[in-house]
Amino acid sequence: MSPKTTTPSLHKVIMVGSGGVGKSALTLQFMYDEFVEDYEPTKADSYRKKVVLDGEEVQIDILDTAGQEDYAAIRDNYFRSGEGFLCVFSITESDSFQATQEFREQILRVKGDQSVPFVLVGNKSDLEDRRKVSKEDAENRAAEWGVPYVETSAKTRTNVDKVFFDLMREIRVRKDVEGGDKDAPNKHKKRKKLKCSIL
Amino acid sequence: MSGVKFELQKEVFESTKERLHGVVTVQKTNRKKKIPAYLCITGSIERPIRFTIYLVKKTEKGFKRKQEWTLSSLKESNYKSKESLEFDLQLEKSYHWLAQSVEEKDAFFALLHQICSRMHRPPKFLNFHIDEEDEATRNVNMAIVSVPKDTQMIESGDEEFGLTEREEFDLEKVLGRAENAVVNAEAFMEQLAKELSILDGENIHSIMDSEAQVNSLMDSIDKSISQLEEIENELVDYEDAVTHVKSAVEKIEEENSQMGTAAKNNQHLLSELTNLIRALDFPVGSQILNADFNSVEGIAKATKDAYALKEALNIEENIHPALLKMRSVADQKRRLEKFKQKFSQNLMSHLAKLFIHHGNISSIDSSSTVQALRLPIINLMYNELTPYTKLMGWLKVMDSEAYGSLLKTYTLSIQKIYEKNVRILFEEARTRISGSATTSGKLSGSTNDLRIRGRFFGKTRSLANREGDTESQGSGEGSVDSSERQHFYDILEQVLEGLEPSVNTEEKFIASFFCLEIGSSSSGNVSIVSPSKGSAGGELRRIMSSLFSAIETELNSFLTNYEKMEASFCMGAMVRLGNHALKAENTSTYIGMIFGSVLVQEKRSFDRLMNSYVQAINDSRLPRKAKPGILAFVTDFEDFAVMAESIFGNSARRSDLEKWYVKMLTAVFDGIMRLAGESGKTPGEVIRMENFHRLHSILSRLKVPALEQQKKDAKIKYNEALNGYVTKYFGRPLIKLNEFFEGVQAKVSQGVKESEIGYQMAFSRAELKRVIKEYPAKEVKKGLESLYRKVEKHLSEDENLLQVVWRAMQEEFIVQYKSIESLISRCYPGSKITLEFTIDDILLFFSEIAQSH
Ligand SMILES: Nc1nc2c(ncn2[C@@H]2O[C@H](COP(=O)(O)OP(=O)(O)OP(=O)(O)O)[C@@H](O)[C@H]2O)c(=O)[nH]1
Ligand SMILES: [Mg+2]
Repeated sequence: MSPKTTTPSLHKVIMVGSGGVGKSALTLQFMYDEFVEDYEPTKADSYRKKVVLDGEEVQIDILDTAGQEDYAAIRDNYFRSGEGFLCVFSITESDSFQATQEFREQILRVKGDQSVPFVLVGNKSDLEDRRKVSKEDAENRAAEWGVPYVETSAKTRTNVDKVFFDLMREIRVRKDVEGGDKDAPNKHKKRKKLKCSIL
Repeated sequence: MSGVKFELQKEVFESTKERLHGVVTVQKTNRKKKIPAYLCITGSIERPIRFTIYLVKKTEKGFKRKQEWTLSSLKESNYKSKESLEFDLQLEKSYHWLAQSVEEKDAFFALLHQICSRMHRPPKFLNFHIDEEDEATRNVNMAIVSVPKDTQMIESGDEEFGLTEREEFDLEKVLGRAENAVVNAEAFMEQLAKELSILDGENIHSIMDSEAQVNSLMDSIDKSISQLEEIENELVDYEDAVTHVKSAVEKIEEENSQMGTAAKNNQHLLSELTNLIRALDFPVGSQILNADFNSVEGIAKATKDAYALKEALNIEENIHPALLKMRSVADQKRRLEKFKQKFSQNLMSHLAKLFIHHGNISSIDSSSTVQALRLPIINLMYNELTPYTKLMGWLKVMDSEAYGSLLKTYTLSIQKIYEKNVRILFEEARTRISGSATTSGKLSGSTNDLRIRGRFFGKTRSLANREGDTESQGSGEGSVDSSERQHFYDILEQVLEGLEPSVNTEEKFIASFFCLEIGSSSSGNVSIVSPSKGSAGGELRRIMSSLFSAIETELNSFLTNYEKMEASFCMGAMVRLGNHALKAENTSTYIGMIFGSVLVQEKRSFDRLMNSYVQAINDSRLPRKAKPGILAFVTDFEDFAVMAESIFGNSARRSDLEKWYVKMLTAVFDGIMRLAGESGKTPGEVIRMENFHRLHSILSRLKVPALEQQKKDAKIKYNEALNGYVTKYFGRPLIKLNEFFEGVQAKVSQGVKESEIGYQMAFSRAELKRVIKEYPAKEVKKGLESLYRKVEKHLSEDENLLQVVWRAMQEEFIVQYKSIESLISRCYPGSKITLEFTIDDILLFFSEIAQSH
């Protein structure tokens, strides 16, 4: 493909959270406007989409990950590659809310960055009658971490776009703060680091 | 005598089953010639006995019956006298005979008398007396009369009439009484004779008594007969009288009906004449020739008069054909015919002038309306011509030649307007397309300005032979951007919309003005104008074709021209034409038909284009770069699908598109598999994995229900490729260990016990230790790092699958480690041999690799 004069900026989002909380459901709803009723556990899936973020055409890469992973260390690599995280739990499942703590810690450790773009997502908000995690608890935790908390429903599409766009905005802000070397693509930096480590 | 009697019996009466009782030889008294004849009395053998008198003549041939009478017809018999041979018999008339001898005559009369005495109404016997002597003679004669051979006849001589049942009974009673006295036969006979004579006497008495009564009865019958005759005569008289009257009445009746017929005929004649006169009457007369065609009133009057004339000329329908032969009728017809000729001439020249006039003025200034991309409607002309519609209808029926020539004049005059306007319309459309496209410049100028960028499937070809000039092979697709495309379709839409009202109005006008509506009653008369097509519908179409032939040509060349620059334009053209052809107001109209026929052409172009895309995919080659990444035709398919969806939407032509989607995807699938097989540096698995991943994503976004299967297939193919790639490469870091344990496993599956593996030369503990030594933790880490780098090198930027693949590899590596460990513990139990690195080491390596970039 002939290089285009303006390559849209690329934001890498990682979906994390326990199994069955609706990471894939949120992703598919965002990507293809569809909701899948069946539960099929994910290993890892990559998605790419062009969106217009505040008037600017950007590209979002989404890595949908497995809720159940035998060895947490396996996640290190893709946490490392992520620029922003949607940390998802289900409001109908206390354990999944509990698990967000561990995910948060691992991400911070891997990224070595306390202020990595991060949104706490309470999914399945359409199942209000089966709510196990109070909004207050979730908001408190988010406040404690200094991140936004959003309740979503992959089923009704409530706040689905919002969580992705909010996160992308945070990522964009972070990138702007980081140094404004827009011209140098990300991968270039990575290459350098990789070479350094080899050497 | 008896000889004659015998012969007679034999020859004459045997055959008729009669018995001859008596015969007398006679000759007629008044005859000179003495031909002997025999008068015979016979009785039938069958009961009841019928007595007959025959006159038999002897001829040379034998006996011949001359005459016969029933005994009952004998009214009177005259014995005359004993001395005379003469005697008379009164039968149906009086007969006089001469017997041969007195004896014969006596015997005959005795017999006749005896037989007759038994009868109910015996005839009169004149001059004949029965005495003892005679009686005796008679008895003798009776014996003679009987046929001698017939013994029964002799025995029952007394009872020759046969016995009735009662008589038989009586006889038996009498005989029964004398049974004991058979001995005394003589006394018995005497007694019988005595009784018999007593009975005879009684019999005769009773006969004599009743005679007087019978006579008086006869008399009264005779009297009533004569009275009846009188009445009859009177009746005949009456009948004669009545017959006379009847014929008189019949005559009167006939005359009456004749008079009725005459009166009716007169009436018929009168009505026929009135009819004829009314039919032929045309009060307007020659004034019709001064008709004023320039005012609405004048036209209305002319219309009225013309139809009256038509009515008058239509006499054949109203009157009897025979009347047409009347001179005055023929004369009047000729006169009317002349009026018609002149009038239609006047009308024709007037209308022809009008047509030509409008043909000239309408073509002067119409470009102003065309500028709005609307073919102008010639309302001015329609308004002026509409009042003549009925007159046109008249002309069509009355003077088809004039009608035909007017039709021709109209077509020729109006054709010019439309030809010009259509041309202007399309020119305007072209200007608008190029005018607005100046920013991008793609559609503005000549084809030379077009840069064939070869997007879509053209790209794959241009990449295949990069050295060759791209222009030579470009079919031009993908040379415009979507806004230019949209602009072109907008203009096309406006053109199609702008054509419809004018063409449809014209068609409606022609149909009504020239009475060409399909199924119009007078369609038969059009055959003079168009001999080949009999139907008015065909004629209408023919005229429309000559008026608007420019549309199809212009539309075709317009489309062909732009499709030369951008082949994919045929897609939108197809959809738009399809929509317009299906519009309710265009069904079965000329413009609808034109759209339909151009649509067919566009569909062909579309099929050709799609075919070229499929061909391009099939011909595509692998790009000469390190990472092929997403193949051009995969992204081309996405671009194509996005564009096609925006064009086709849910239009009626969508099914055409979906058919090609399927064909194209088949080519895409095949293309990915084929190019993956050809790849050099990059593993085919990676090409398959990346491209099917992308294809699945494209199809997920496209959401065409018809492609659900292809979507699933893409996902399956992606997973197959991912697994294939991972299994092919994850083993690299521990290659020797893997080889060693593959060998172990092979042995086990051959039947070697796991615990005895250690005794195999190649798989001894020492050997295992040696292999394990080669993989200290440091080496493992190095291996993993180089694997990571390799994966990074294989995968392209296009598809962002590094994390997915690396996660799968980490997982597989752990699975592999665990399987080796378990094999060691099973095959080398108690050896305390372990790998030189732990699972925690591996996890640490993973984390370190993650941190390193
Ligand atoms: N009612 C409701 N059901 C949801 C919602 N989101 C997900 N689900 C259902 O929850 C189940 C699990 O959803 P997934 O999206 O597959 O969960 P996941 O987080 O991807 O799970 P893993 O891939 O195993 O990590 C599915 O049956 C979904 O249909 C939601 O917002 N509302
Ligand atoms: Mg999932």
